Amino acid sequence: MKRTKKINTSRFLKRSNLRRAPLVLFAGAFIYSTFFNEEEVTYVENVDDCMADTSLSQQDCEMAYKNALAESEKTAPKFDTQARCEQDFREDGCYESDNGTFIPMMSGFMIGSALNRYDRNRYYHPAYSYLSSYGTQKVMSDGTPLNRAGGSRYTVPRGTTETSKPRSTSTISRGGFGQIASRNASYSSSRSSWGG
Amino acid sequence: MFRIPIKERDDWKMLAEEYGFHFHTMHGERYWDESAYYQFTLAQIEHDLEAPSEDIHQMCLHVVDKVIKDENLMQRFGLPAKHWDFIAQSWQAKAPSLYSRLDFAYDGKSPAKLYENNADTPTSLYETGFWQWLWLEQNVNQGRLSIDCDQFNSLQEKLIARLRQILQIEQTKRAGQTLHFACCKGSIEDRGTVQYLEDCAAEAGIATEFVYVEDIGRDLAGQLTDSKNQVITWIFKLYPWEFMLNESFGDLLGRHPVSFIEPPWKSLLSNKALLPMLWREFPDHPNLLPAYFGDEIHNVTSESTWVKKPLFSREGANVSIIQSGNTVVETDGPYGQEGHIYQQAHMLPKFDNSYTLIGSWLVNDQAAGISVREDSSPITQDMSRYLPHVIRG
Repeated sequence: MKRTKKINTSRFLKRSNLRRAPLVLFAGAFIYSTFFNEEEVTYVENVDDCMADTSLSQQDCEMAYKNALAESEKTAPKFDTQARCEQDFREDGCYESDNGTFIPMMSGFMIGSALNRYDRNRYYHPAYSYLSSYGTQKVMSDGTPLNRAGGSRYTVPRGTTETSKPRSTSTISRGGFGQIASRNASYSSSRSSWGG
Repeated sequence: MFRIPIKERDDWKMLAEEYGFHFHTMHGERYWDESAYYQFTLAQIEHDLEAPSEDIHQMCLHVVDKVIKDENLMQRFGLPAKHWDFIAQSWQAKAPSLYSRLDFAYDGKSPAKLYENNADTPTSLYETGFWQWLWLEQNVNQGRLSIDCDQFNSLQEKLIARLRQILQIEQTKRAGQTLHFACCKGSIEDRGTVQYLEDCAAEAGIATEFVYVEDIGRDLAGQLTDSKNQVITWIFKLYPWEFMLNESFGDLLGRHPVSFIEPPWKSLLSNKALLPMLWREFPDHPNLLPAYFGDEIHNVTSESTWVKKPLFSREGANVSIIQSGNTVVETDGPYGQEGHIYQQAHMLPKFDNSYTLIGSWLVNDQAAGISVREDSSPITQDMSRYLPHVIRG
């Protein structure tokens, strides 16, 4: 056979068609989150919460907390001024980090609900209280929201606790790429691609 | 090699909607065309396209190695001298490549002739790897095509496997890498192509982020950032190197370690200067057409017809056909200031009323399938149609 043997077509589906897939009603957060490509995490504010709400030991919870703090320094959104940071996060919610930029304080961190002890291959992502137009919302460093699933349990995109977030920085300018494309685009009205 | 009419699937437009294939019709004209398909024999595929593609790819790598070591040759590729080191370093570091597409004129009988190498930003990837695969699968299942029909198309399988390999290489440099994907604003086709690669990367277990090329930023230290101010350390860009190297952020390249797909050394292969270099290194190769640099006009004899192409032309822009010293066909466009090359004309074969071009894909140095495009003009441009194919017999 000279062609791809099997394709996981559902990965490439962008919109499900209800006429093709009859709606099945089911209960249970596990099936729900699997179906919607999500995973469940426990959100805790500190080591005490962690010991109360998860099956991790005190030592494990301390390690998870340290891991989250270190991740926060690396990946939290960075701002040039405290005022700009506080526009997005609450007043007194930001501090100056080592490299002179301002970052929000983490409001808590996440532990994969399936974990019952500290696993150094997992990530314990920090979360922040973001002031959105709908009110305060818990978000990760890249802005991904945490969706409440009941109590201290939340759902996040599947794979979150297995992958790191990129290091963040403070952008000083944009638009330094794409200049030639926009210049050349005026030559042709049918232009549809910068590939070939 | 035949062109065979076939009934279109009744629901294909709805399917296209569900799978997010939004550019099947562009500017009111059909781009994806399943009213017919091309049929090849296995021997045609294996002897005339698959083996020559892998040979030519190796010949291309030989050219890169030669050019990078020779400033006089580098000069001929029209790339800014201040970035030659950046390009050379990526070659010396064996920066991994994901894919490329060789364009051939092939009529089913005589040797396929190389037109050019789309080594940096090849498109029609989704249509090939996924959509024409699905077309065959469904037509076989619905009994319109015989079960013994195959397709030369292991593109998606090979892309995912190669992405998995590149991930392993990246993880030895930094733990927990995110792969950014970028293309320009305003092109549904480019966004669709990049979305497809994001899906393939996700299948390979890679964490991905998207950013538009125009939204890429920089921090004080010169690191590249995405729209969430995250540092870009590994990026797939559907945007030509010869543009990036000449833009204002071009000067930041090489200052901080960033892994690019495709790597900078691909700027030598997606460049028409490759064609005279190939002819110089491998004269009279059955799959090559005679080609010369712009200043080698003494070789451009008036007995033959020649095609004059700018070094950086994209999708058939600024190409002219020269017959007995006179320009007979000329396409419009913004390219050509960087210099040009001459390639001996070799007309595309005609099937019914269309000129047919074969794109032959390579992933990880291996031939990975073909795409077939048709145009009403002998110079294939961006509005040509895409037709599926089968292998039978």
